[in-house]
Amino acid sequence: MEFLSCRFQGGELRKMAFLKKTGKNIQKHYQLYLMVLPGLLIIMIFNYIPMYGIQIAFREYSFSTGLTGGEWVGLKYLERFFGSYQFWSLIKNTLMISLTTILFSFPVPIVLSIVFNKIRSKRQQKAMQTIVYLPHFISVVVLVSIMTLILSPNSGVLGQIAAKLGYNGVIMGDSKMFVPLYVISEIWQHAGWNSIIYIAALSSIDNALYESAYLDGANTWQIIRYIDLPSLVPTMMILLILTMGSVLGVGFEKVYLMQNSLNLPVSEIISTYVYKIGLQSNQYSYSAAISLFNNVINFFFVFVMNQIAKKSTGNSIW
Amino acid sequence: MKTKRFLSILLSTSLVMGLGTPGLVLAEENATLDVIFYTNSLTKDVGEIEYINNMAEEANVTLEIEQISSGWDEIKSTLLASGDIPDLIIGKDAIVSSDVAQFKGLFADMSGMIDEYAPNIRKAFDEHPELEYLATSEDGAIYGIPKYQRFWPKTYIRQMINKEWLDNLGLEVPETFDELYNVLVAFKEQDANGNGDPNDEIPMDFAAGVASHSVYQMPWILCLLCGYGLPVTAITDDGWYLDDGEVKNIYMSDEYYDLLQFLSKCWNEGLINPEIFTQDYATYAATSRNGVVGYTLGWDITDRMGSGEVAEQYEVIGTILPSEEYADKAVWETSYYTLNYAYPTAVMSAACENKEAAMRFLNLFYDDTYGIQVLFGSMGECIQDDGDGTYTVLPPGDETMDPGTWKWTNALADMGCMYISDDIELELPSDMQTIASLDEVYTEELERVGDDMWPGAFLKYDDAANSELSFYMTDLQNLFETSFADWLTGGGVDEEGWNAYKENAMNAGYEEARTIVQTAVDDYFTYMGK
Repeated sequence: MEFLSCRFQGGELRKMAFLKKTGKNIQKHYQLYLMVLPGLLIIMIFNYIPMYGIQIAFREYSFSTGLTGGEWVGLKYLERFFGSYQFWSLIKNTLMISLTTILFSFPVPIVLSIVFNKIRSKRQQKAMQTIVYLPHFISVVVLVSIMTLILSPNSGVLGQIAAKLGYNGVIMGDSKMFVPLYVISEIWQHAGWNSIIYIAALSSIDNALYESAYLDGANTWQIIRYIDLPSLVPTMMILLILTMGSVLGVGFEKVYLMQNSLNLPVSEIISTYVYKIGLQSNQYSYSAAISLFNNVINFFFVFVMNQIAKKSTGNSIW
Repeated sequence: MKTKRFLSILLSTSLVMGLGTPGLVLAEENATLDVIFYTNSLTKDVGEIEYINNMAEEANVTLEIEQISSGWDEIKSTLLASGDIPDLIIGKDAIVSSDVAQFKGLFADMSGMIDEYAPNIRKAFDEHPELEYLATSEDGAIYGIPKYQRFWPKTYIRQMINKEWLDNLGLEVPETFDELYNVLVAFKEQDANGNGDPNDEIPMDFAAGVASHSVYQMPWILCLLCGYGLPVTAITDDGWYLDDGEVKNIYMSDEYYDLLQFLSKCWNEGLINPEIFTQDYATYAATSRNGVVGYTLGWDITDRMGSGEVAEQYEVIGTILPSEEYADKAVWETSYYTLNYAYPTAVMSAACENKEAAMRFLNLFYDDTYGIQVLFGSMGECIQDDGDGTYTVLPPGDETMDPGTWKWTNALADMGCMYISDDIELELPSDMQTIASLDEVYTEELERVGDDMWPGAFLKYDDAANSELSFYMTDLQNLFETSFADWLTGGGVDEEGWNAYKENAMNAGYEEARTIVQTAVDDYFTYMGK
């Protein structure tokens, strides 16, 4: 008994010491805490407080009774989703599109940034960068229209070339072409923009490193291999972890715009399904339940990815 | 606390007193009404529309008008959320039925007032009980006034063929699937348009899927099912139709299976534009306006081929039969109810201080002569009173305008709240006449539809049924849409595939969905006494 109470006291003491330490810490660095405060408040107000709305996923939401008024139905909507006729195909399509996109579009900005970094003339470098990231500003609607037009077998440039090469059919309507088209256009549009962060990371490398490498007689490949790439690893890891967080959250607009009856078997993903059932058919509870499931899975992916990164490279978000 | 209690007592007494005041006394006084008119962007200043002023005068009200023709959705959400809405909001789609359900307390229940202050609306409801059914919500209240437009055609989709090509090749207008097939093959293989190039003709083009419709509608080519006697409606994509009052679905019918074999044969022969599933409506319209399409479907020739020379080559043709023996069964697509009815087109604020005056004003929209003016424009300027109870819609007063633009400029037109009595004899403007005449091709077929005309506009579901139905339909529509595309382009479907498909549909809840729709249809028919 005495031992126990001792331990209890010990715990109490440690707790007090911790509080004291934290208090001192805040006192000492209060300017820093003040700077963080607005950001924290914004996250609290716009990300945490609205979370109380999650409950509509477990309620029979109706307009007239409001967020908290609907009858409590528990897991009804989640069960309905798991039992849905389309459940497995939705998961499969979503993962297919997002994993392929990550796999192919992740390395491109890294390569681009290294190439840009090697351009000697500052003016040329700036011009190239601008050219490559301009497509980022094209709206998705316009982008998909452009794709439809140039791939059209009757009037499109690429469509006609494909037809001459013996391709028989409509590229935009081919379910086998959907994922490649999605990924390629994604890379074309965003690779330049995404390389900015790597270029920033590269520009912060100490010039002394390059100079000593030159003196030791390293060639360009060796410099890339032993200086550029290693210094990009922390940035890569953080970006990779963040992208994994949206594995099930593939951008809705582009997939929806590219959808047609022919590619629907591969292009119906969770977010387009949520749009159809939630907004077009006004099933708010059901779509909230699906989105909640989506977010839980995404959180799981971030967590796992973070652990892997921590173990393998020592870089992680927390 | 004390002030609050005092205030509430004050409020409730004033409310009781307000209720006690006899309406007739108020009716004599001029009342001021705040009104939002949601109009087309072409419509001129509503305060300058003559008939609106006449109506205000007749109802003895002064209107404070706010006219909105763009950005309404943003304005609406803040307006409704604030709870402070004007006395009246008038305009089709300004307030939709889900708004009414969501913000129930905001809108006045007019059910009691209609009998008392709105004899025209009462009369219209008696003449067309479906209007009252449409307007009455589950709890028996009437939160909005519907419109009945009468003049819109019965059919939404018509089929057209290039008559000049037929003449060039010495062919007859096709009446059966076999003849249609032969015609399409001839269009493809021969130089139908006579320009020396046999390969620049697209034999068949239609809109299918979301990409081309931009809204959910069934592939228009399924109107060919009418040849089998299925009264389809093309304005929605859920595929329901009535067979002697029993709800069925075209996508589950044997006729659909049959038609798919035919269409898939056409596809394999390269008779169908390969872009049907991927082109958007603008491309679909542009292609046919170039005059390169042989057989197509759409609203009318002007819409599909423009009003130039190309349009003159085309002709609307009657229902095509699967074979001769269907001659006395064939019907044609009809979306009459959806085209002619809308709810709500006018709502009143629950906080309106002069409900009687507002009701008197709304009542005039249902007046015989004001009704037609709401649609076509003021008497004298746009409509001529022929004196013997008949009226003529005048040609545009401004020669630079077509009849459509003229109507939109001078009237609330289709956006208004109106009731066009069946008794009124009105000679229509030229663009409406062409529409009406397009229906003529299908007169006999449309008569055969009879009571099986799809009452989609009137079907009402309670929250639970609505939730169930949309859950099933989202899955079913996915199945229907993908199977159609897959079978059409992938060489048709065999018995085995068809049975597997039907079983999938059952697993996705087809029978449950059908039962829900059947109940809604039965409710409607019971109400209508059919």
